[in-house]
Amino acid sequence: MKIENTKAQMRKGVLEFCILSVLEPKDAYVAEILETLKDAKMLVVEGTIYPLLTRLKNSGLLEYRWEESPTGPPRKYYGLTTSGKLFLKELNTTWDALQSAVSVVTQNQTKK
Amino acid sequence: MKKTISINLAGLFFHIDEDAYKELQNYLAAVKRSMQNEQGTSEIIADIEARIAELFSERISSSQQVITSEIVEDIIDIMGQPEDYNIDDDNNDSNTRTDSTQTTKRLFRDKENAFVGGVSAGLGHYLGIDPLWMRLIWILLVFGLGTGVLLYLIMWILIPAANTTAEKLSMMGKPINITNIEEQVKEGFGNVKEHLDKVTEKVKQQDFNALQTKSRSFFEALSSILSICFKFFIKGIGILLIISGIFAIITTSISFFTLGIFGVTIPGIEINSLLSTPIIPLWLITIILLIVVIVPPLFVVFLGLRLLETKSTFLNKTARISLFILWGVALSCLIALSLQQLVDFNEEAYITKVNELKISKNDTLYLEMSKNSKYTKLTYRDLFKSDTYKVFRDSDQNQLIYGSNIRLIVRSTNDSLGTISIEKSSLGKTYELAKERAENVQYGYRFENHTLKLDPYFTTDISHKIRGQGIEVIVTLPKEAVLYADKNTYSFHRNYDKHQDLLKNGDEEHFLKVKSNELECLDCNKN
Repeated sequence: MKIENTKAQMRKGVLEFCILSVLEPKDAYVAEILETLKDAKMLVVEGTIYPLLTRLKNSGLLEYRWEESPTGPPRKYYGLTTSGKLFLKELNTTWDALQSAVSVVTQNQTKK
Repeated sequence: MKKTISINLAGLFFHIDEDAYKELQNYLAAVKRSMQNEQGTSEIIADIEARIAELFSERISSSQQVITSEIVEDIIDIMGQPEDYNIDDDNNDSNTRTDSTQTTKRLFRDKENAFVGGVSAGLGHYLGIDPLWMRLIWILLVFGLGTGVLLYLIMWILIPAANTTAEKLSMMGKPINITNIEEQVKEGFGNVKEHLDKVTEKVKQQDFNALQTKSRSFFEALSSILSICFKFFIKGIGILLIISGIFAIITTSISFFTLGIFGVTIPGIEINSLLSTPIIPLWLITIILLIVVIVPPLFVVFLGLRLLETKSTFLNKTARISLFILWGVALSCLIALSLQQLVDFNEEAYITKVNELKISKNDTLYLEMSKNSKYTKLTYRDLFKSDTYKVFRDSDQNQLIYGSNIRLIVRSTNDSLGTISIEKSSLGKTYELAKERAENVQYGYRFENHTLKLDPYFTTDISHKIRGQGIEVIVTLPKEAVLYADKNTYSFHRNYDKHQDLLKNGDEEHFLKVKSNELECLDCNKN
């Protein structure tokens, strides 16, 4: 068991949740999603996101449409589907529960 | 000048350098391979290509129209290593997998925890020990002849600083252990496999069966391990080259500096007296010499840096070529000069002058080297020592060459009186020049009261240069005469058999009767 692996797994586990959250208020294309995640230091390299997006899309949680870009190639704008929104809602509650559970456990440990 | 290739990336048109193109192609192929288990790989690849196209177009301007390998590397840094694309943990043993956010550990300078340049902090991260120990080692090395300072400077220059988040993470990344080395081997063999795949694909579009693949992987692993060992070996040699090159540069610089202080003199002989014709000034000769000796170590240092695969700008191509040409020119100048010097030793001339020596049968000749000389240093002959010739100033401040290259030979004669023959010899470019030089050698002796006093040195003016001048004194004595040689003649008649010298070393200070082929000792112990 190595600390780096555990850390990476923790981060990876919530990455899908984070992507869905970024897309909740408005549709975005990859560069925008990446910017938000990088600013929050959720992501170091961009590579990880592409297979994730495709996987989410294939599971029917995301959909995309093409839009022309003024500078580069046409962009894929991703947005949440109805099932995606439901999925996110569920993840939100799970996350809150998890967070409070973790804090209860860790705080109990420090009190002892 | 580089060849460019036009590519179509996500519907956009780019000019890309040939080597950058290869790099990008390898990268995309590796990414594809790392996502083999993923569904819809081609769609993901298309997304990635679109993103790369976007990043490319951000970097293109009117002054930078071509995609270079720097840009490609930059983009790989942003996008991540091929294994970062693999998000599937389920199939793999999590202990041996490379995690997605961190690549293998690399050596960087840690500027945030730096005392001086962050070398110790970086090494600490890399080796997984407290930087304090590294600093302690540096301090110890500084006391060990200052090697620590040199080594630290080299590492400061060679090791890049960790600037981006990715670099910082890889700096602090996983420690080096068996698992990681294994990972590296796997990665390396993956690359080889990829390469082989491409080659075989080109040769024939045919799949390998399981057995072939198996045996191939074994040899791939083996070659990867060998190549890693080889890399370490090469880097070690590189470091060695850099250190020895710098050492050579420093020592030669110091020796030239001290020579400069002492006015370029070799003890006893001024260089002027050695050179045949001063067609070029002395300082120029010094510079030529300096170039000849200092350029090779510079190249050694460069080679060392190359072996370490750093992108150092220590010597760029133009500098290398011009240095090499300069070195060649300097070397040919030096060779030409040396040849010119050699030509000066081409011909040899002898001048012999014979005088009568009033010694007849039963007379005794006392033979000694004169002592009443100002130049007491030259009282013995030693051809193997550098002070065979010396340059002195006489009372009129004229520079004179003094030589102790004098050979004394004693022979017997059938005549009734003895003789003394003085043979002066010298070398020169032509026979005439050599002869002139020989004539200008001044040598004297005195003969009175049956005592022959030979000068232990000869002189010649500095303008005649040192050109192998020498004196051979042959004393012939009639048979039945007696010879008594002083101890101070010892070194002057240290002769070989071919010189047919009757006076042997060790016979000094004895009365010796001259016979036809030997000297008979009159007062020696028969034992």
